[in-house]
Amino acid sequence: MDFALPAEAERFRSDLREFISREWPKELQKQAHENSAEAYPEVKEFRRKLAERGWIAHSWPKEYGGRSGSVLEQYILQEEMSYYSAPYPKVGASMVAPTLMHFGNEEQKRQYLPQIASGEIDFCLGYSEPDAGSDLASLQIRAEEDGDFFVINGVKRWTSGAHRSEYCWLAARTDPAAPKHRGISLIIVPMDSPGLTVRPIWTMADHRTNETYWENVRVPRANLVGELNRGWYYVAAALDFERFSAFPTGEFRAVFDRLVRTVKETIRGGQPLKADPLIRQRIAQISIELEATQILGHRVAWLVSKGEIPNYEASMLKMYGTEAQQRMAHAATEILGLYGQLREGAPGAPLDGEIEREYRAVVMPTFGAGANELQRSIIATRGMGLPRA
Amino acid sequence: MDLALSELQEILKSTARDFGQRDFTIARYRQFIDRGETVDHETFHKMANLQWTGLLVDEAFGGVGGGWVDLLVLLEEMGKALMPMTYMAHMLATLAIQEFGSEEQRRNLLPELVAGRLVAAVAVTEMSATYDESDVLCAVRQEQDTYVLSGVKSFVRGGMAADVYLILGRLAEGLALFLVERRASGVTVTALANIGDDDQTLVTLNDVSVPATSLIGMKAHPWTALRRIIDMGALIEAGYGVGVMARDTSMTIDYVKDRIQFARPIGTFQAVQHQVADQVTDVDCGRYLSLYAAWATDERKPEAGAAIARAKAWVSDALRRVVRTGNQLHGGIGFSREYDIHLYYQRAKTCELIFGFADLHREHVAAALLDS
Repeated sequence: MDFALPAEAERFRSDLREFISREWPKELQKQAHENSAEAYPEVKEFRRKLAERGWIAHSWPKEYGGRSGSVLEQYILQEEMSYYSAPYPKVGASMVAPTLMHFGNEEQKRQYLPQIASGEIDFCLGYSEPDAGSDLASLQIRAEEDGDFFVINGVKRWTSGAHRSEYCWLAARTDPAAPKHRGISLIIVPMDSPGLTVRPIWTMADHRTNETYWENVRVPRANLVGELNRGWYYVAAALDFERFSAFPTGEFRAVFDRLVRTVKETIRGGQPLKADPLIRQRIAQISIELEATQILGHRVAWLVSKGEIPNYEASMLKMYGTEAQQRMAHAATEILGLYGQLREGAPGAPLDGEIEREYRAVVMPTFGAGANELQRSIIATRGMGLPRA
Repeated sequence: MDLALSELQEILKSTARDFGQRDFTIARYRQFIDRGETVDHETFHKMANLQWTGLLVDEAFGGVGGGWVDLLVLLEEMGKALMPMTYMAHMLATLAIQEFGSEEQRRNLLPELVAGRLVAAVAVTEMSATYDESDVLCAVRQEQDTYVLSGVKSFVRGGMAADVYLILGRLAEGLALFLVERRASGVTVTALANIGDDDQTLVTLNDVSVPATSLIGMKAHPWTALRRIIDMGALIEAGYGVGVMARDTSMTIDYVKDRIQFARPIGTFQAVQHQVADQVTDVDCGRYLSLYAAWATDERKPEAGAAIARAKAWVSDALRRVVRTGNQLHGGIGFSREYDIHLYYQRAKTCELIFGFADLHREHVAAALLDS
């Protein structure tokens, strides 16, 4: 039993930290959260620099322009990017690229992989719809075949990053008569296609996501990934490629580190916050849950590094980590008391209002990317063999 | 990074599992409870014969020279089978002597302890029920070449089974450990009946005289030594506690797969599935936090103490959650004495409390984060 990461992986971590802390400083970290269009030039520049170091495609096989970097290194890369809230092009590099490597044709690999690796392009996920969230397979957007084209009509919602992606990784219905899982196809669509409109949705966390409207959007049949009507299978595979990033602990750790510093430095009513026994208990509990999450992450990375598929372990990581981070935000507002409600800019706002923002931000991950109710059911059924309904 | 057990650890685990199915069954456990007995010498000696008592003892003293990860693998299987906790008390005392004793004390005592010819227990807490240095009032005075101890130690795990105690007492200069024989004049041992049917006792010392050689050298660093004993005790308890909650969970999973209500197994209901998922999460995190703490201890990492505190804090709280759910999902049958699940519910409380429940260990974590 050995919980230490290999020495080369830790050296890789140091290199990453040195780079990211320099190239994605604090001012930009906040902008990345907001996902604003205005921040996009900086995002693209950061991607370009990452690409220069070969870090977008670090884990890809050499034949596709990567370095065949180890699973543990990729795990560390995701952790460090998360710690600094740095805009690693995760969709393109960790979902689209491996899927194309496995299921795309040579033409698609030649066209997209180098551009993803160079940081020139990134993708948004065209998955969820107004009526298709947890029940994603019930998606309705229609892609009809018309000669050498697909004609796409419908609406996608929560299309995060649509406003600053070059392509959409679209899951669309190509056979309405088939059972729902068997009538879906995966199609790559340029975001500047005529008929494709992006409308911002601003969230309570001040993040931008989008609704996208598809009106007779024509896309060449050559943009179909893999086989027609096999899209659901590829969507599932895409989720499996980097299971250890089901919940990167970096950001959780970063916020906690700053909270600890605040507690150490703040004197209120003549008393240091860090001397309050209730605050000490809360801080300790967050720390325990953070380290539990970290170990769950290590476990998934280790399983993947052995070539095994973590079935319930990744669900447990996502479920537990998102709730633990949520509890941290709640505890932080209790620790800071009335100050916890202050927005950035208000006199006396701790950490420039970070806790207030975090408290709003932690609402989403427990239902996003696979609602925790589903994750618990996966643990029980796929993991422990409990019978399905 | 490798989270798999070594081949030796796998062997240890399967040997312990077999022991729980053959040598110390739940049926045997129930017999002892029904008789109101907490001491099972026969089982303890079988454990000694399997060299479990020598697991962390240096080979030079007849031990196996293993590490804390090995011990935790064994402890989890012990917890699953609700094996007598005498072993844990004895192991802690053995480790305290190995770590703090003089060369001569180690040479004289360790082989006896490893062979199980001597059964030992550590007595730290007193009536105040804390693990605080300042609450150790058991007074020790020096009289020529003897020490005389007076006081009351409480919640002494393994108190009835022990031949010899390591008593934490207070000299004028500070705290120290003293080897006191159960049969010594002035020693009274009273059983403390408890929910987990664990061998815990009061040990009353009325001017008990012991030779000077009974001092197990703690005088040099009393605080760090006490911290070390609490850490070791807590990690041992956490390891066993992981087993208790792991078995409670697996019994619950088996039950909800089989129990039919509304024409279907109750394990098909989401409310049941989600509670089971939370049990499994509690167990997995408890296991890995404990194994990490064991590994960090073996590797002499500076953060090992904080890691142990995190593990024990987690396991203490998780035990409560897991066994509550276990009984909840078993419904009526689980409430009856006939069914075994209540045995886990009850023993879980022992593991939760001994060597500190969550608040105590959280304070240790807080100190590491905030006071440095």
